[in-house]
Amino acid sequence: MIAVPLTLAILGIGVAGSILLARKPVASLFIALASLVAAGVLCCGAALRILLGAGSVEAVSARWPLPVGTATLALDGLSAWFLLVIGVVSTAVAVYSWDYFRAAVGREAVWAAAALMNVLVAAMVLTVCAGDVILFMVGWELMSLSAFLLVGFHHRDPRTRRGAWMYLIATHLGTALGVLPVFGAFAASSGSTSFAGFAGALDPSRTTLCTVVFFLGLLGFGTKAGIMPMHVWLPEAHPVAPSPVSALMSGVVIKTGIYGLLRLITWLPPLPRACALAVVAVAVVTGVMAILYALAQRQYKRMLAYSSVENIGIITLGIGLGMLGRATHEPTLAVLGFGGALLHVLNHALFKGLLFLSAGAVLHGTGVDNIERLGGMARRDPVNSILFAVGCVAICGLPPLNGFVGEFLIYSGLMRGAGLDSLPVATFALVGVAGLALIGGLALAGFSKLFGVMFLGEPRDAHVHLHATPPSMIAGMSILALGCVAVAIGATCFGAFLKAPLAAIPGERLDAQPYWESVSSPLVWISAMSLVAIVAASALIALRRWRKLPRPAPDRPVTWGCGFAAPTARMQYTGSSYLWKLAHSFRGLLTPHRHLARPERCFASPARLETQTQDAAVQKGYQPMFRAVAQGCERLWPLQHGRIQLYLMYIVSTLLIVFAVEAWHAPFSDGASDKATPGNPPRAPAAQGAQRGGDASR
Amino acid sequence: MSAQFITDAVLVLVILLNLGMLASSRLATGVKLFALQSLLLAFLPLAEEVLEGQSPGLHAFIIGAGTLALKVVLIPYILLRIIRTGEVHREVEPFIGFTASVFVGALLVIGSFAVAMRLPLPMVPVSKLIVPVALSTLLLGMLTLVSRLKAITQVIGFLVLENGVFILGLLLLKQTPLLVELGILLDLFVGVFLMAIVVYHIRREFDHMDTHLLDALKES
Repeated sequence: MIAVPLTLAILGIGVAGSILLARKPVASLFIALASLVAAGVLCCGAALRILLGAGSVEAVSARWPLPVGTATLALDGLSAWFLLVIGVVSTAVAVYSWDYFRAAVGREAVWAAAALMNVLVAAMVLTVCAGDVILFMVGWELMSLSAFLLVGFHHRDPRTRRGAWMYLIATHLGTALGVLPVFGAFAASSGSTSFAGFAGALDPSRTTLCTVVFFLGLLGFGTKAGIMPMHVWLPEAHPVAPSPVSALMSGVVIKTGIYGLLRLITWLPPLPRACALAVVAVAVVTGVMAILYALAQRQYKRMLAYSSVENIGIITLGIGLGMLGRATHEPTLAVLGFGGALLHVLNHALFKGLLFLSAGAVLHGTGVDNIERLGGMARRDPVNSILFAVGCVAICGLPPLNGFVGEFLIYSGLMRGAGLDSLPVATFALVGVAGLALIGGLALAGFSKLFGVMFLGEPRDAHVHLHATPPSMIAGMSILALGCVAVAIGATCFGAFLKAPLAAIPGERLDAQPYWESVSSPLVWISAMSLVAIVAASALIALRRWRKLPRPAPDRPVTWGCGFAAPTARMQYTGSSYLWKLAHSFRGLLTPHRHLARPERCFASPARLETQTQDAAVQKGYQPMFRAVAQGCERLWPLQHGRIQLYLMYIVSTLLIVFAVEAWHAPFSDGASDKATPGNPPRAPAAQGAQRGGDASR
Repeated sequence: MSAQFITDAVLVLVILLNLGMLASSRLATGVKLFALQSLLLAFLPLAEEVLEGQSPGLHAFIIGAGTLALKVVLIPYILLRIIRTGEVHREVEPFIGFTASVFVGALLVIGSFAVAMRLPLPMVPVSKLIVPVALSTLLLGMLTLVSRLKAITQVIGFLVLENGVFILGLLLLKQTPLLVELGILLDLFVGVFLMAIVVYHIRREFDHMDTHLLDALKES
């Protein structure tokens, strides 16, 4: 257990070192990234020790200079799983960042970014390993603030500032309205702030209370994770952040929301079936709507952000399935649902991290964030294009890569749920299957568009130049790509790996293990078969190349030139035209805005067509809501005179009113205050002899 | 003449000085009255210990000496220097007139006596007057802050308010660590120091030290 404090200490050294060396940016960057790598490796080691050691809970406590108990770091299976995710992604991101940020030395405050990345990772480690509310909130808020500063790194761009503020406001609203009330409810009923006392603190017979607490948690933690309709900050904040930061945020920061949700579930008794079904419904809506919005995007990082929302939807679907299993006392469903969700957390961190890093390499090389201006990158930067392709295949859930494994578990759980003897459950399970299938198909369309338009074909804009991806960036991405392959190959071992995290969620687990094995054996078959197919296909292509060579290639025709005599790059498919049919058939859901100027006279006058798809949650939900709040606040303007004396007057009159209320109604007198703090030791004898001034004077 | 009588007399004098500050229009008079009030208060901790039958301890001694040095000597010196170097010597056209503010102040004193009778206290105070006098000093300081225009008068209001806090702190002399009291004194010093600099700059920029013209930055 010494590993977690040690990790935090190393990260602290990284922060201090990079700040002290701020005058020498390269040295500062090096020390920060080196400590990040060391901490990441240490995290992985600590997590693996717990995961392989079959779920022993380790904890370390320290005295805390606050009147609320001790600071406890606890590491159980669930924490260890998320610690593993944090470790892997932050190691890869640190390696990648070396060349990424070194290019900006002298132009930007690189040392600040490096130090803040250390803070961010330390905050996440603190969040997932915290054993009491105070420490959790310290980590949680530190994570929000450091991520806010990192998103706003290129703060001279107004879009960046907008994205950063949106993130800060969204995460704090979620914390204030969801997370804090949940912790308050648990702390009030258990009488302490320690997580150890939270499990079972709420009386299982009070179903309404438990349900309300759960949905508050879904609101609060879902805002961090990006569950619809609380997802609106993701597509604003992720594209504007520096790419390593996007990878960290999309890979792990939003997963801390999932961690919070799972942790909440471990404390709650099994909730009624309707709750689980509601979660399934929310998850399907999140997944389908997010991938539809992703299809309509033209900025690739924005599309990746929407795709993160979609994957959060898949993870939530797994959680909903697991809750269904707990509600119906079907351990198989619980194991498959929670197991699938956890595995998808790891998988999504791997491939989305990879995709954001790879997209970052494109942005770094070209400086263009719009896919319609790119094209033909595969020929100019083959290594990056292979890595991007690996990420795309993995995220579409195609075998033999890792995305397939997690989704397969959720699929088989849903199928098992459809076989249950209950009409609503079966209906929702089938809706889940259909939703997951739709998400998979749309994701395939979206990512084939992304890869095809960016990397294949001909360059669409002659002004876009590209320089090759530097080695450390390739190394960082390769770690994640290898992770994608390793998870797929090791899919059968994950039954053992997931035992500890699943043990953290209470419930009976008797007949789940054999079923798990029966599920994972076809998994291996499918992966092996597809691997064989891929190897055979590549062998055939190699053979064909070898047979045909040497071949005279006088003038290579333009890709998608359609045999036209004088083809130009503008004849190619654009991203929008590739997906027009799909986007058109879902226009009822997407409601795109079209601005059309038709050619009017006989000889083609200039014509233009613009389409724009905006998020319905922003358009119909948040904008009117915030506008109403702003109008309400404007009513308070008459109070603002700008005169010091009047502001002081407000303070004085408030104070006078408080005095008067205290004097004549005494709401804060001794009896009430003693009742409010039952945990406190009896106060000093002087306080015991307290009496009201009035009594003393009589 | 017992120590009890002296303490009570000092506390009554403190209230009278408060009302005197409200009534005076000359800035220098206000500062001098404040210095006198602080001088009286500086001896209170010692008197309180004597009253309880102990020999005066180091704690009370340090508090008294600190108050003497800071509030009787240093701060009045700074303020008087500012007043001397500036052209403004009088508070003109306050929000609440001088007679009216004495009247309001008297009402506040009555109010604070009424409230203090009913407030729950952690222990029996040395003198029954301590709490009402502390509250009325607080409130009269606030009244000065609210009703006056000149920056210097506002500084005086803040200082009087702090004197109120000091009197209230006498109740807890035994419980409060020395460090906290010294910290409060240091805060006060730094606060007044900064305000003096600000007042100086306001006057240099705008040729006056009215604060009511500072609302030009107001929104809308």
